[in-house]
Amino acid sequence: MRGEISTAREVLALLRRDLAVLGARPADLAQPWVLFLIVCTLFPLGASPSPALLAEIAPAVIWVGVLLTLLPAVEPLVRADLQDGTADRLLLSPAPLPLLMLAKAMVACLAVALPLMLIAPVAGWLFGLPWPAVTVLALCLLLGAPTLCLLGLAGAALVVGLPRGGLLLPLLLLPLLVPVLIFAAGAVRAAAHGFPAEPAIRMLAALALLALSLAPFAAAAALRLRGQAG
Amino acid sequence: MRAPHERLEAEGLTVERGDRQLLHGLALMVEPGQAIELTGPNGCGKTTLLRVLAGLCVADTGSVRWCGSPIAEVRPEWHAALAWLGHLDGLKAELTAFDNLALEAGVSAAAALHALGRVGLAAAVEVEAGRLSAGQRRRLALARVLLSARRIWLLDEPFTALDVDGRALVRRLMTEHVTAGGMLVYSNHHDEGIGAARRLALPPPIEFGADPGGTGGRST
Repeated sequence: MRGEISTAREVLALLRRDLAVLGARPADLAQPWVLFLIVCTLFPLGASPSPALLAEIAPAVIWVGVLLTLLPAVEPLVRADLQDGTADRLLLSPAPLPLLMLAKAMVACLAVALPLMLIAPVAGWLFGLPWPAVTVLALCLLLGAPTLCLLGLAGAALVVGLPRGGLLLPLLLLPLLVPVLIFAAGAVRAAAHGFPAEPAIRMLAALALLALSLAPFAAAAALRLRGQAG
Repeated sequence: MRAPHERLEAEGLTVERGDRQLLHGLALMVEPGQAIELTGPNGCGKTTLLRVLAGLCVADTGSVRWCGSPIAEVRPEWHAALAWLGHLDGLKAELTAFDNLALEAGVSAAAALHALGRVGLAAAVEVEAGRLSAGQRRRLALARVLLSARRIWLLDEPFTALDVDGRALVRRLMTEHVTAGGMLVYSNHHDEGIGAARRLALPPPIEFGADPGGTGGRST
């Protein structure tokens, strides 16, 4: 009983601390969604401005935009902990490390994924996606963005700060990101063409559950390895 | 399960780092009211030994036991008894000195202010840790060790970056902790440690570079 209470206190303390750190640097919080808006603005300018074409490429543009802005925003959350010695303190916390990593993923979801979840459907609507497709896009973001946060966290815990880690991270994550991209963009495309999106959404939900159950353990194992080396 | 008598024991510890062997079967024991000061030249493995004791690193041979059980088996209990001050301060540069302490699990605002006063940071309560000097950050990290009220302190070079007053302060805090029945292991390459501590001089590392069996080829 006492152990459970102290675990809950440690997890809450991590959440409070990380959110306070993010709150102290609001400009960093704005970066992912500003970048995302820039991507979504530049694409129609570069492509032919026909509404039919824009609606056709919208799912791919939006999801690639989410991928490219979300992952670089998750990485600094881990990098800071490794550089200032907080990682060692997490390793020495009496609370189970995977649980702390899950809390860290929650922080990433709140700080990075949530703004994108709110903005991306608006971007989809501006791209001329029909309403059913915008709804499906919102649902896919709800499942896909946290999945990306979890994967990004585990990947960053493994390679951030290593020599050439900046190159390793995208290479390492690529095979894990591809299914998310395929099913998430596929669901939106299906909905836009009037086909059922449900199968792809179910696959996305399965990927989310898989990431939720495995990524915290992977991140914890990665952090232990870093502790062993440092 | 818990032994009636709290103690930290290590035996037969050996760590290999690249071409070097550190510690060479080192053994130590700390009981309540005891302190060990680790000394030795740079690179002899003081930090590595502290990380092995804490459970951050795993030694290649040997075991670390807390109350008679290997620390891997009693990890939550061991880490709930342990306060760590590493080579890095573990502070968040964006947060104020006060928030760095008060956002820890189970720390009240009054306790945080009291601890800041004890380490001489009463005037810097609202200053971000990133704007403190290296010595002030060290004091802040020590305040967190104090606040944790843990029974065993593992401190890696607690005197680093501190001025004369700061070193005297650390000596006083460590002595109080040990006198009150706490346990302490710290590394030190400054002249003066604390009187209550047993000195443990770590042997120099053994280089494998000359070993013809080693195919590493990393001799420089």
